[in-house]
Amino acid sequence: MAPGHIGEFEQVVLLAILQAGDEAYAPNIRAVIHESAGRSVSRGALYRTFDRMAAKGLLEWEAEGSNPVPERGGAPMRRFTVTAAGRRALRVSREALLTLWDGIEPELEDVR
Amino acid sequence: MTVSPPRVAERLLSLCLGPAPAARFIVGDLRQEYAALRGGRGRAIAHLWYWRQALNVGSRYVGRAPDNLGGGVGDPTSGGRGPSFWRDLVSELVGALRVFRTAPGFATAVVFTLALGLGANATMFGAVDRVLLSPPEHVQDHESLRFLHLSGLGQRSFNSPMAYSFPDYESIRGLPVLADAAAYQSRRRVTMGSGVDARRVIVQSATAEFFPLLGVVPAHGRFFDTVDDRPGAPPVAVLADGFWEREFGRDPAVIGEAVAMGAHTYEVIGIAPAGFTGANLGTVDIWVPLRMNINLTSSWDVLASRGAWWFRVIVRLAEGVSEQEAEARMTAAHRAGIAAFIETGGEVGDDSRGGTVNAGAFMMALGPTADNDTAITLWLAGVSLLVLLIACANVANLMLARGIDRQRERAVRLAFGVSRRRLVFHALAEALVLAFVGGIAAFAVATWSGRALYGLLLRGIPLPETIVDVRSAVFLACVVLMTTVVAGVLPSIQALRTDPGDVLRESRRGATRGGGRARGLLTLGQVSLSTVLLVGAGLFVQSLQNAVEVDLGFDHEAVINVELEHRGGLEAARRDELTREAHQLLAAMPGVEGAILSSSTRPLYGWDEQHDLRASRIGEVPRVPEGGPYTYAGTEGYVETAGLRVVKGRAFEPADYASGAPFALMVSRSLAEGVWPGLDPLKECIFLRHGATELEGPEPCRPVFGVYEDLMVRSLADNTSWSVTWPIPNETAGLRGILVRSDGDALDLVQSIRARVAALSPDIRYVHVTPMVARIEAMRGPWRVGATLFSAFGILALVVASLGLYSVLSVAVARRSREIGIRAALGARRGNLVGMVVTRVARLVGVGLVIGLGAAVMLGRFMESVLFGVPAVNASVFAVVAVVLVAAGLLAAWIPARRATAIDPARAMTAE
Repeated sequence: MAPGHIGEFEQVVLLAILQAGDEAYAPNIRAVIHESAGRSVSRGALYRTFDRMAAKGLLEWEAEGSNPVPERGGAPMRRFTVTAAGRRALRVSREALLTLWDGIEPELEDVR
Repeated sequence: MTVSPPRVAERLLSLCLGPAPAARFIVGDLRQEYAALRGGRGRAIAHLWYWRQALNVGSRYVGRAPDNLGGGVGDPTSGGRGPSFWRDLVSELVGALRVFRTAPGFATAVVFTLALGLGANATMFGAVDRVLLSPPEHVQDHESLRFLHLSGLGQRSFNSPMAYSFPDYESIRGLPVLADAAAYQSRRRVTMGSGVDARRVIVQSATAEFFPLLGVVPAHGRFFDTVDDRPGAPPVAVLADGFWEREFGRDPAVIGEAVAMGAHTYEVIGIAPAGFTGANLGTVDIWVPLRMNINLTSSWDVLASRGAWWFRVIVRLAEGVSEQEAEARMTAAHRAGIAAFIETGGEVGDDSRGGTVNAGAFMMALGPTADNDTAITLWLAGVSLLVLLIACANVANLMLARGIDRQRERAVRLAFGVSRRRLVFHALAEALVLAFVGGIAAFAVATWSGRALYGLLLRGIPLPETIVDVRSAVFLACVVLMTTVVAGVLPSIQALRTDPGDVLRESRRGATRGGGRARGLLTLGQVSLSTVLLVGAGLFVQSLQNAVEVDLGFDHEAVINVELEHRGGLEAARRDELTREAHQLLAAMPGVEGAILSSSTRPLYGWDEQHDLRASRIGEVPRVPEGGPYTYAGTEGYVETAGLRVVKGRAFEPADYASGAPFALMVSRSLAEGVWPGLDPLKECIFLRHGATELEGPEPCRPVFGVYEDLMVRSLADNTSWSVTWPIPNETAGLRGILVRSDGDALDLVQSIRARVAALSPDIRYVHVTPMVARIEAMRGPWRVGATLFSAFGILALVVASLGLYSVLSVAVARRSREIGIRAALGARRGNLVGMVVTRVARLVGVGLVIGLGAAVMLGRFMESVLFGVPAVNASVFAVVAVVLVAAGLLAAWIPARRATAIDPARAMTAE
């Protein structure tokens, strides 16, 4: 796969992070994916995807330990943000998809 | 208050996450979600959820390098056995649980095989352990205990443990080579209570030394001592725990109470500890002092008789005394005792002179005279060993297949730099997890099947509290671990020596090889062993069928034997009267077609051997080695009630039974043929040297009126059953047995006969009612047990072996999918593709059959003695087994063959 191209699930994750905005913590991201895309993702798979995408530089996170949530037993939270590379990858994907979608819409109309 | 998730799960998760930078965040996230869930849905649901998440997330991280550091995949933990070794192992174990999700078919097959194969084995091992290896419960220090066996010069050289007379016991008792000695009698059934409430209990007489010798202490009260154990002492009894529970509901107040047994009343003085069965394994309800009881119940002085070989003797060797030394001293003392007896004018037969005392193992099964349970148990141990081998071969087969299948995956991981140790760990962890789950399932099967097996095999031996004891469990665990771990880890160790590049290149061509031969051999072994078991099953089933179909020579289904047990001290005239009353009652009872009286308590199967018959022409009628000739005599209607089948001449007519009628006789076919070969038996006659009763007068030669079919009532395998039957008048004195013919199912009448006759008089203590079918069924027992067990194990083996065939074939198809695809593309027909798979099955089944049948022929020699009317080398059984195995093979080939035909050529070729 050429650099800059990302898989479908990675797109979903990046978009969910952007949708969640300031509240882009892991459980929220999972909830957004579930609600908006109707997909149920296992936590294990999601965490591994975060790791992989962080390694690729598509996203990053910062630890928020200053305002601890009591239920977390002192463990810090991390808030995800999409890096510039991530945004670029999203854009590339979107453009590629839109180009492909060009003129297809009417063909799919009767399958609704 | 903060709520914490399950600690173990969280610890496990942390271990799996290891040094991953995301670890603390993930742990925190899950904690937070857990807290929310717990608030909403409760603790139990939240716990379950957390465990699932911990396993799910943990398994994703386990065994993987923290690859988000941008440093690629390395393994920073190779080297010595630091804490990382254990962490790796634990995290691999968790990861290995994934096998149930990723390869459910494989995991289920392994667990299923382990559960059935090893579960059945654990039970068998438990039975072997119980009969052969463990002393009866509560017996202390059994290593220094010995059963004495006495062999003499004459016929009594059978080396039986039941060969002691009481004086024999007394002569060795006080020897200094012995720490202690005790005598006891084998168990006997005695009637407890009387009339309608009467029931049979199992009583054992033992000397006062018995309990201290075995080292047992009473649970309640006391055991009997030398004061209780002397002739003339007041009768006392010790109850077994099970009997105490059954009869008295564990009421401690029973001590001091009186129980009526036989003709006497005994005072209960103590309760034996739970599980204690004396020196042997069979159930005992009550123990009574031997010297007191023999004196109480025998009409002659048994304790002083050198001919009453009724006792078993156990001794405990004194410390530091060798078995040889003790045997020499005991033999000398024994002979000195006999010599002194002869000197004082006593007479002993050859049997008792020059006897030798042998000290056998305390556990009778290991001694020189093993009993029936031992033989059966050993047979079964052999059978279950075969099943164990089959199960192990199958698990090894499955594990190898999996290992080989994952060759490519391993190569990829090696190529990415995952350490080799980690790979071995991975295989090891998977094997351990499967062994663990399989072991638990096996344990469940063992516990469940144990009860059934004990009921079938070791009837009369009380069920142990735990069927799978620690030793069985350890044995099982070792077998499970060895099989799964060796077969699971070997392929990955082998893989370490291969170059990942080679593997990858080869697998791209769709030709991963290796292990095929080993797996083929394992499958072959399974097929061969299954063949042996199935042949065994076939032979036993046919034996049982023969035993069921054997012609007993008389119409036995409706025959019921009735025998009265009277109150002690009853006069002969009163006994006669009661027997006649019972006869009249039974003859008029609804459901009874006819009833007759007989001179024997058990006409047709009692001990009515008579060796002094004389026949016309030949004189003395010879003894039959298997037993007989037997003599039967009955009142009017005997021939019809017993169901004798007349083959020549005629049956007795009413006039023949009348008092003063001319003498008449009937003989069995084999007697007629054996005594007067080639002659007409109806022209011959027989002298009964001792007439059946005094009414019959001096010896006449009784003419033979008729010949009836031989009766097979003592043993189904009897091939000569010589007997003579004559009619006796109704008023004959001393008639003791009643024979009843029912007009419906004999078993339905048992209870009502017992109740009605028992209600006749309080002088009747117990009514023994024995339908002939129950007796015949008991004789079929060994073959029924053999047929049931061999069939169960045979089917089990067949299922497991089919599983093995299936796995070999489906791996073969999967591995050759590219080749099959090419063939299909080149126009191979469906038939050809199916043929490929079937050829493979045919080869495995064919060779396995040949090996298995060969082994069955060789083992057959040892089986011949336990079969019934079936040659061990048996073409029809072999043919059926072959058909069954071929059918199982085809069934196993069906899915892989269908898969082969469904392979899409285009896909197969591009898949790699």
